[in-house]
Amino acid sequence: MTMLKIKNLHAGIDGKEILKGITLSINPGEMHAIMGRNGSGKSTLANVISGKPNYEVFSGEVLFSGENLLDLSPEARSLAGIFMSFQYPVVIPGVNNTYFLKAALNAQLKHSGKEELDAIDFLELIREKIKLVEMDEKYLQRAVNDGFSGGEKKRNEILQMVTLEPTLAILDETDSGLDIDALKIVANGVNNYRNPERSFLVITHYQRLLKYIVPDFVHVLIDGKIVKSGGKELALTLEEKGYSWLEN
Amino acid sequence: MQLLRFQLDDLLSRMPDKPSEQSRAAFNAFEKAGFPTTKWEDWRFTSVKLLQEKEWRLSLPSDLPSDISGISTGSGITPYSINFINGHFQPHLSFLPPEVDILNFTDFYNNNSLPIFNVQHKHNPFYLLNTALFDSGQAIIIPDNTTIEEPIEVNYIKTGLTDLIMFQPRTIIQVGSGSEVSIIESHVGDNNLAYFTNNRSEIKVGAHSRLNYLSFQKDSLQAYHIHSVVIDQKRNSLVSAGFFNIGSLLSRKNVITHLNCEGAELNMFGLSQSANVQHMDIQSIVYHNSPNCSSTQLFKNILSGQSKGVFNGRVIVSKDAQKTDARQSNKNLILSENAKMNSDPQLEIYADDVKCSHGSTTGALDEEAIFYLRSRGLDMIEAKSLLIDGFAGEIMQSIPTDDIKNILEQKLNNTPN
Repeated sequence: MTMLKIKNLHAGIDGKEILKGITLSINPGEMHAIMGRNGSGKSTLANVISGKPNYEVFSGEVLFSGENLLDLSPEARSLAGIFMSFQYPVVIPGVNNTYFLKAALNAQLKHSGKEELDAIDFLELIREKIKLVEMDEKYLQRAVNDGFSGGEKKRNEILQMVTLEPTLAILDETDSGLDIDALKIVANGVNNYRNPERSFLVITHYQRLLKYIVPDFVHVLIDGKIVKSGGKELALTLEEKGYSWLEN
Repeated sequence: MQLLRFQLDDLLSRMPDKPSEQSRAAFNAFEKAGFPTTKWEDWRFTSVKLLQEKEWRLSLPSDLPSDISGISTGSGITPYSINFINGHFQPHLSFLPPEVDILNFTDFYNNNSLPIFNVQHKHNPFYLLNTALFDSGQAIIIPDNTTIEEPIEVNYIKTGLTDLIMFQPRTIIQVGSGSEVSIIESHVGDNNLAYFTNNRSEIKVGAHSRLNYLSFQKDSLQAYHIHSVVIDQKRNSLVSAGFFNIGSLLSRKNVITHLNCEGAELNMFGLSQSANVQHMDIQSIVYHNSPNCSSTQLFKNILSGQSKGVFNGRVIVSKDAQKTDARQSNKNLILSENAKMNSDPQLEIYADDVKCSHGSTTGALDEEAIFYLRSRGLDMIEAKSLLIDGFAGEIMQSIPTDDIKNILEQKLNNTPN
């Protein structure tokens, strides 16, 4: 079955239409990339899929494993298996990162009827997971994203992804603010996590991330519409020719 | 006023040891100043009209419940506590380490002749009222070069009252030189008892000493809680002072710290949590009077319902207090549309080589943060409570020892309300 099916989606914020008829299908195991300039609607698409309040859907459908996603709360979408890596991860002073990660994982375990992890078991698990993103363990003891550099915040997002093990991961501009080393680590984290049941929607401005995370499909978003779709070679063409040849 | 004067006459006749001249002088000064009104600069946001209108009387020995055996006193986490029930010292329920002296207030008065007019009257008539009427309290005296490993609790417990009672306790803490001690002063009462407690704490910390002081207030939701705290720090002393306010209808803390000698360090923090129609007011003045002293202040309020909060903090750096490092911060979280916070941090700097900062923020829970947590599978209630705990967590992290943290948590969880 198609994992994510978006049909003629019109959506926006504050009454303003930003997505002007998006149609997109993602099957299990596929890696899709959405590319476009700033303001083309890339992040709006990510936010609408993950259920951010204030975003309005004017018309169209979003189905996740056949279920109407738009009726679900953000937490229900997360529990159903959707994960978004934030473009700007939120700093939460006073909330210990380990405590937060454990609360999030236990919410998922509880939802799927599994036993929740206690502090000791969780620590053992998270110490394994943190190696995948090559993050220093000291970040587990800090408040969530508090005092983290841009790169550390993005690694913390990927740490959450590999801990929660979603079926659909949306990476919203995960490459922005990363130096090349951090980019490779993040890409490794993602690549190690690819499997036939898990799909990815990678949103990016630049082609450089797609050197390390190789997509099956590339879609170009201009002014709220997908104007072109193709294979991974489309990203290279965009790098060469820019976006203007696709306009009008 | 007449009723209060009658209470004074009655008290002096009941307690012949209480120095009557000073008491009457303090009462006359109180009468002259009167109860503060909202026209007073420091009382603009806090009205004591309702408190003033009620006819309070001092607690008599007959106000002590006939059976006190079932009343919970100390947390049980430390062996040391001094306990007052309905304003009456309970020597049989109080245990102190042998190195520590306690004196009742008349002995202390007679032996040490405390200066009683050391604040401006106008700013704090409640201090004058306490000087006139104080009828309970102990002086805790830590000698020089003495480390007390386990904390000492001072518990003021109000229970089973049948009349409108006022309490005027005074807690005196004197730490000698080169000593270390933790003291938790706690004010609690059965919920829905109406009473007025006008507390005074005088704290002196000697050179090279360390005091961890924590004031905990979970008085009845019908009670008026006024607390004036004066801290005087000597050379190279280190004071951690925490203030937790959960209970009472009206809570007003006046905390004045004097950093009078070089190298003194003060870390002050507080959390006030209010709901319904509670009113929580913190007034803090830190006097930097000597060079090379440092102070940090972090006060937070969490407000819900129609509750109100006030923070008025001043740091005054005198012209000789070079190399002062003073930081002051007030952060407030508003959880309902009808709650209101007034925050006014102020710096007055007369020296030129100092590092000082202050700031104040007041806002609702961060919507982005709520969405972030929900997008990780936490529901709305879990997300909000995690954020509220996180907001309070910064204050909990300021508590200097695990013992004090455990005692505080025990008091938060196990006292009435």
